[in-house]
Amino acid sequence: MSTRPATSNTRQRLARVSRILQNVSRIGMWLWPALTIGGWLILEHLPKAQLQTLAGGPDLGIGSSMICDPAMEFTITWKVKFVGMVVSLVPATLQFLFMRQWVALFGLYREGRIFATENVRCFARMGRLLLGLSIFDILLSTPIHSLVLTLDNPPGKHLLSFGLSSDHVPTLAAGIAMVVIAWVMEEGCKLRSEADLVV
Amino acid sequence: MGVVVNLDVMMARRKVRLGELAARVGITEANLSILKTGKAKAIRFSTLSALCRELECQPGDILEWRFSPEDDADADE
Repeated sequence: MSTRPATSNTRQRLARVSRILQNVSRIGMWLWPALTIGGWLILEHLPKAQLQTLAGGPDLGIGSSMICDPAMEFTITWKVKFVGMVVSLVPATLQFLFMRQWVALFGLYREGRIFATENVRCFARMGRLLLGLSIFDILLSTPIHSLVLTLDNPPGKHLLSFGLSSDHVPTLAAGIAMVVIAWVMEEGCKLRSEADLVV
Repeated sequence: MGVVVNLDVMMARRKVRLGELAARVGITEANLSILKTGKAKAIRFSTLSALCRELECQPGDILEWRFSPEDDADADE
């Protein structure tokens, strides 16, 4: 079956850039979970402002600026670190899977497959993963982190905060856009397979 | 049945092989195979013209319409 390849120059450029991006994505894929684990291991060395941010503090954005009391103390124990790490591994796993799809997509581009069903699948999976990630961030991230960070606080000093941040909007928008792009690409693939049967 | 492609019959009559005909017509062997096996959804006038030229025949020698009950059902709709 014939394909309509891009011009050789464009194809070579695409293969070259894709190889670089695939390697960068591969590094990012492993770096994200490693940084998440590392971050929780050195939690007591992080600035207090950053812990407040995690627990729904002033830097989180619209709607969360009044949630975390600046005077709030966090008792960092190994239990807090472990539970926090496990909880943070949920979005980190979604990030990992998302980056894995990038690696696969750039691998396809490297091979010169730019309009195949595998590409559509990659886009659809990435869109769903981004949606999952943004939903986790919007609904669960702040409450869980606030709860975990004050897990070993004395009675009456536990915190459960909820908050919406404008920071989550781009991720959500990107997720929705990727799902829509996957639908468009699926239609494009159908048109292409029809065109391939015109002799 | 609809439109039937009789390319294999014409090729056998002219004793020409797939690869040779594809090269003479200027399309890929894979595409000519799609046409020969009846998997093609459409044929360009330029391809049909080149095939007729190389096989020294008329379009009707390559393409043939045969009645099928499905066509009848389509017409009723």
